[in-house]
Amino acid sequence: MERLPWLRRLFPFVLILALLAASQVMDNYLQYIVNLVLIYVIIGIGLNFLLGFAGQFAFAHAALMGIGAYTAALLTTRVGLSFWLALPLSGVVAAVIGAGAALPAMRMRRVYLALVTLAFAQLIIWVLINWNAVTLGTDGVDLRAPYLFGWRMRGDRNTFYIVLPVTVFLYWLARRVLESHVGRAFIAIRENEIVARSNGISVAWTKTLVFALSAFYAGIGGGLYALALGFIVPDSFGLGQLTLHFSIVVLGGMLSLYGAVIGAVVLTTLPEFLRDVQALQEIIYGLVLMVVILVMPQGIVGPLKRFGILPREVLARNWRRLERRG
Amino acid sequence: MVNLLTLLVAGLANGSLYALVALGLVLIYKTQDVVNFAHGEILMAGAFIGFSAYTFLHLPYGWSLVAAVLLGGLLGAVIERVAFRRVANQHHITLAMVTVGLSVLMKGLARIPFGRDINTYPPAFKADRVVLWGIPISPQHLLTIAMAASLAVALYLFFRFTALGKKMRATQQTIVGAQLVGINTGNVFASTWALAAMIGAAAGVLAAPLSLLYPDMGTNFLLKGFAAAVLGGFESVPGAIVGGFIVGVVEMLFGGFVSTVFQQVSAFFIIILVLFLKPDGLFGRRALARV
Amino acid sequence: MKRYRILPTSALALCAALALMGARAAPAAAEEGVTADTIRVGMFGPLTGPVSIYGYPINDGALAVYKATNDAGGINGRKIEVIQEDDACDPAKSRAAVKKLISRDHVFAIHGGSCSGATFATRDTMIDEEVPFMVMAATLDKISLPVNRYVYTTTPPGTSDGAEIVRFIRSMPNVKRVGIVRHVDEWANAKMESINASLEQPGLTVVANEVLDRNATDATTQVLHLKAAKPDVVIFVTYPAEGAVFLRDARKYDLAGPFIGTNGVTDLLDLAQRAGGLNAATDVYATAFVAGPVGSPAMAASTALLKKYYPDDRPQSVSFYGMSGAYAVVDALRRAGPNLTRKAFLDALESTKNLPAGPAFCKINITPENHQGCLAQQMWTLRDGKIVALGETWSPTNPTN
Repeated sequence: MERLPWLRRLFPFVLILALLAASQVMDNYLQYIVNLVLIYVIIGIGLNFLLGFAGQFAFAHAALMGIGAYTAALLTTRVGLSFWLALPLSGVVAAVIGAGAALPAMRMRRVYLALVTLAFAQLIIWVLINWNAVTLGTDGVDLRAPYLFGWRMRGDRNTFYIVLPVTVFLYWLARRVLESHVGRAFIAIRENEIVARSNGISVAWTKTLVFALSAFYAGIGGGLYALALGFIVPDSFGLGQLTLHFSIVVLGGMLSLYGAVIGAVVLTTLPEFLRDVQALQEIIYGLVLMVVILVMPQGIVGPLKRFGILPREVLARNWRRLERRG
Repeated sequence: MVNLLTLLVAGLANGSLYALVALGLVLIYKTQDVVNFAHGEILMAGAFIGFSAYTFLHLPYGWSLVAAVLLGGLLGAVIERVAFRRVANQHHITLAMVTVGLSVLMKGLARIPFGRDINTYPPAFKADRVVLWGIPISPQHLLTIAMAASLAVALYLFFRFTALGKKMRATQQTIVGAQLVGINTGNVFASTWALAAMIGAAAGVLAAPLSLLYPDMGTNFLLKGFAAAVLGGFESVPGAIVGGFIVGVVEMLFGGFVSTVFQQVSAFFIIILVLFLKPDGLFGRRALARV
Repeated sequence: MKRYRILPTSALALCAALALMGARAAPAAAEEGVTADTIRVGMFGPLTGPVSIYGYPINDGALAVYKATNDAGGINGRKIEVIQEDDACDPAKSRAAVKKLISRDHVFAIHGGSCSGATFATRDTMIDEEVPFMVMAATLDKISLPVNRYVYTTTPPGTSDGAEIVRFIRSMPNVKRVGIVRHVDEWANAKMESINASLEQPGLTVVANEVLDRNATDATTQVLHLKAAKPDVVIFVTYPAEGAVFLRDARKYDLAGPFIGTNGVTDLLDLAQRAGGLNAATDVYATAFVAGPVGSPAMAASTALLKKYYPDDRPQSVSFYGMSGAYAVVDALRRAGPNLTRKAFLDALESTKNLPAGPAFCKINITPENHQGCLAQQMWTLRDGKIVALGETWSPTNPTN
């Protein structure tokens, strides 16, 4: 690994401190948006593992986020579990179910994997809607603010104090995973499964791991989403949510952790900036998505890296056309 | 309890629409490796073009269908030329996201003139239904079935006997090879998109009298068409047609004999089952692993 | 090494930008959103996405009332200034919209919310921030129940709409077997809750209970099941488009009515036209929250009002769903007096008595114990191509066939 200049090593801390300082003067609206941005950073990183680094065209991320959100909300509100236990559990439950989605990935080509995971996601939403006895159906579930040492963490700023450390930790964890041999295995199966196998990488194990890891991030993101909203309904985790996830990853940059951050910032705040042009909102949103991808096929991080504004990431490589139909 | 034949006929009728949607998806995927998530919106656009031609320009019914198909085809070619030509060599996920952006954009555009109301598209025939061998069926459904069947035959002849069709097949097999023998692959891409969009627009005009007209009408059809295409192998024209019919019939059988609670998700249930047993769909060829 | 200098700089810039965005001076008024000559009211609803089809008409109706109030001289010397935000029918976005209205625009009160889930997601914010909240057209009961000092509605909640349907069925002669076709979402479930509860009592039995999905384009299986069950009456709890699909297929497979719909399909003429013509909607009934069909004398004043401010809007029932709440807000603002505070406004709202609700069928009554200001509805049907109001129950003077 190259030696990093001290300024760069300091950067994450500067950013965290800046966010903490800003939170002291933010109003609830801005704080709520910042919370959502951080949650979508987690979700974007999770999808980036799967879509970007491991190259698996899977469509269950929004449903897995829903599973995380419902796990957190149901465990706290209906079972009475502490949020501090429910949050990690929401990640674990999503990871277990997500690992199941690795099963079709073992033997299917990408379009089939896409549809099987999409079908799986639709079934999950259908279960959330129709299993009234457990999920309360379309009436939705509340999630009340958790207590920390007897102090109720109510309101958007307190939510921020929960979301920020989790995001920072998960970002750090992602970096560690990607820089390890596991991360290289992810890339290896994306590049060529047969070469990966001949290099002693267990494709089955690596795929299961990346699906589970990605789902874990989706689940934690979902749990925090339930916390930030305080109320969730099954419809929140359908195709619209999935589109947002994919947009975050592709617009930000698929082979980059910065990409998830940039994508989350841009796509969470864009609708807020477009509040004054309601009638044109969808048009502008769609145009931005198309134009950015057409001009920067590698996402926004592409040019940023080329001009040295962002440092090269250890694992990042330029996209090329990796596969043609066999 | 419920008449099996009635269900089968209704299933085939709905399935023929799914088949038409699947056809458009398959054509583009075969040629350019893109899953076109904007195909539902092409269907919607076709329906609104036909609707405008019929209601505002007072064109005869048949001519408004022709207008929808032609303008739909033009729309497809323009989309390919403006949006896809320059990124054709990018990763398939990038390409898919361009179509997602296009889908959002097209819905937004449609909402400006048509977003305030649910419009009604008059059916092609005045009669509500005809009764054939004791089974009621609407003439609109008969038209859809006939259209899907004749389009399948026409496409077969087109690919088999016309020069453009042969060029398309060559490009589908290998782009570089096609270029080497002097085929203008750019033109082939544009004509493929035009062809797919024409079929999509026709599907829209046929679907609109059944589904009513609103900017989001395409989403449901896209999902079902996607299911049909995958079931049929995603690269096979007859597969798409058969897949469409299967999805339509399965829905009716689930709804009719199990419960209407399951009807909407039954197609997905079947997809998961089929793909676990036959990972390349019913008509797909097993991909060769190249070392 | 030089190229990394941009990083701390950008961090500082971000920090400054966030601080700038965050630090906005609150107005120096005595009460949030009230100045010497304005009262600022926030409004939200689905203005983008699929449900915007209803979002604009509903909000426009309420806006027309506020504009008319301003043009008539305002309230105690103040004009109402409405700030409208989009919620896209999504809980995440409705919370953002409401937080913006409260902490950026410093509104005095909020009148909005037409999607049940998205509106319920804002309830706790309104209560925490102590902002008076008049629900626009969302019908989920738990938005306005349990009663909270800050939350009010003048739209009949879902359960009362369902109860009205069953009350009507019970008043019909020779009806014992009930068939149901319904959506599965929070809007339909609220109505089904009271329908199921009332049907459990003796006299009526449910012989078929079918699900029709949203955006369904075919109702074959539902119709065939219903037909096999031979119901005396069919309740359909669906949105307008799906209701039309259901009626069309009912006719196709010879399923006979009567069909009883909710106030979601009040516009029976539209329903009939979408289902394929007037003869597709024979023997169809629907509950109605508005005083009369569009075009009837009862609606003339409200229709003229809408036409004056929104000439491009096609008058339909939903155009009038937002008006009753606006009248309640205007009335309470007026009675709260020139020294306007939130407390005075809430006290005034809680003492609303027999207020004419403009285009709504009811009179608005709000007390500290009851914040659902408008519960009365009536039943409509189609006769000879015209909508006819039947009152609250079936009566022999209005024979069906």
